[in-house]
Amino acid sequence: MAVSLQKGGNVSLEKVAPGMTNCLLGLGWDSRATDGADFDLDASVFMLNAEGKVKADNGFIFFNNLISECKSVEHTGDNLTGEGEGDDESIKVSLKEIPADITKIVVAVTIHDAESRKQNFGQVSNAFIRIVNSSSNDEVARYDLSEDYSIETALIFGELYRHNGEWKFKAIGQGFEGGLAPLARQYGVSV
Amino acid sequence: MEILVIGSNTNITQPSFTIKHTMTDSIDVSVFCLGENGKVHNDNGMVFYGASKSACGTVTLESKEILMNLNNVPSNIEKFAIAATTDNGTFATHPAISFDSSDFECQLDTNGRSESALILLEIYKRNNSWKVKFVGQGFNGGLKPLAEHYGVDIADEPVVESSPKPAPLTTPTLTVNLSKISLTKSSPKVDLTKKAGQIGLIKVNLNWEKGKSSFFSSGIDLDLGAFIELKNGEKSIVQALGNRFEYSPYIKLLADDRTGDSSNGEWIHIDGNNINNVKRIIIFTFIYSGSPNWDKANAVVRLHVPDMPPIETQLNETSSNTGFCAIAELTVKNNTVAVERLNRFFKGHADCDKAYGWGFKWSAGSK
Repeated sequence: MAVSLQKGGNVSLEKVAPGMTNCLLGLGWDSRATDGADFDLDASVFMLNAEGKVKADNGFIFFNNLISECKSVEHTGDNLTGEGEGDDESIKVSLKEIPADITKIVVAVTIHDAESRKQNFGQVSNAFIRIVNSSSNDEVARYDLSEDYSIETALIFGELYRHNGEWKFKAIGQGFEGGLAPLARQYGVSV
Repeated sequence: MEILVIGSNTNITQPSFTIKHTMTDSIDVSVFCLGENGKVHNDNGMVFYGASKSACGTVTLESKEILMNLNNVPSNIEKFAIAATTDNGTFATHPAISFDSSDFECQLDTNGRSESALILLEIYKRNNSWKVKFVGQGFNGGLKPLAEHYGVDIADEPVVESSPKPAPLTTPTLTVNLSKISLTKSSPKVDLTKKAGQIGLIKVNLNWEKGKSSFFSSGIDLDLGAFIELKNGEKSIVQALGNRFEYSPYIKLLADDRTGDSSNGEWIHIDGNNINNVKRIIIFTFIYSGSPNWDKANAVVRLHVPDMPPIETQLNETSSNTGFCAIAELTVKNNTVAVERLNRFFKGHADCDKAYGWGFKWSAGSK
């Protein structure tokens, strides 16, 4: 059963999905029915060390860098319009394969060119981001972006982090300004 | 009170509320009553033009105001979409549009908008309570793509069957005619573009709002009728009163709707292919029961002529407390048919008869 996340809520994956070893981060939205620029949402993750930085630029997994060096995090590809059912973009994470010096994985969702296209999540129909236990296909947690983050253009969904030998997921739901670039810089990616 | 930006939403705290807006008369406001799938259930789900109240009673369109009462929304309605369309050009040619209600206000900046149809607000159910969203998106192509977005298929040509056809096996699509000819005080007359004898079936429809029944007053019952005079001098009346339903082969009254609840009201069919023998037809209506309050009845008469937009006239320009109205006159001259709006009110049949020279004797009747 899915957990409906409130801001700052803390969900232990071990509790919700005991023994989960693979998870999938799914981002979905409806393609635009009205006239105007397409809604292009992007899912990205940052693989961070204990200092809260990427070890190298390739620790930033996004539409131009689909797979991590360790192969444990893989983006299945960019969707520019939201066309298709279910998850329109997804990122697979093999938790057991993640190198020991990675302590945290931050998950973000952004609208491409939100500023010039004057878009926010509220204008997009049925936009959501979720985390799914790949073994059981159970949805662990989900945010409704269209409804609950309507005025945001970029959002930190949450973070997977190590705690006492298990991976936990902490929902954050924090909007931020300026799109992907400033967030990437903050985590030490040269943009 | 929340100030909404495009895309944002807030809770509705009062189930009955008024949304004031600043749109001028050159903008048509319409409201779509939508099911779970985001589509209308039938063509009653589109509130627009003269049909200014939703079948469920939730939405009432008035000038500069939209009245919403969410207390008795049918369980199959999940969302109301408030939209606007312009006949000429895009919204960029109109001033900014403001909305003001008890729970929210918002303003749409029209600068640079390329659309001629806009979804402005959505009022929708979420977790068993109602919310409002400022949408501000639309369609450059106007009302047609907008209506189709909500499951209303639009015919470019008016859909009027001129002859009985075998019923199709597929589900009928919902059709709303967007083009129309309104007969008003300032433009009361239209010539039918087709020659008499080749017109097909002319359908005349009267529809109205019943109003609330109470202990003291039942709803309004309007009757549709017609006076017909042939070129050879023969004259007749068709109306439910006195069971005069047909004057064959020229004209026929189809049904007597005693309430106005029937979604399509009362119909008269005129055989346009035989109209060369006709000199004139006067369409009239009278209040069979209920107080003569034409304003509240919201009566609309539409003439459907094959291959022409519907011709519409509303009986709303009166404070008359008389119970009889001559609506429109069809005259046949030199092989052409003209329709003229009359909208003249009388005490009854006899007065109207006198005014238009019918030459009948009138006595009280009942049906």
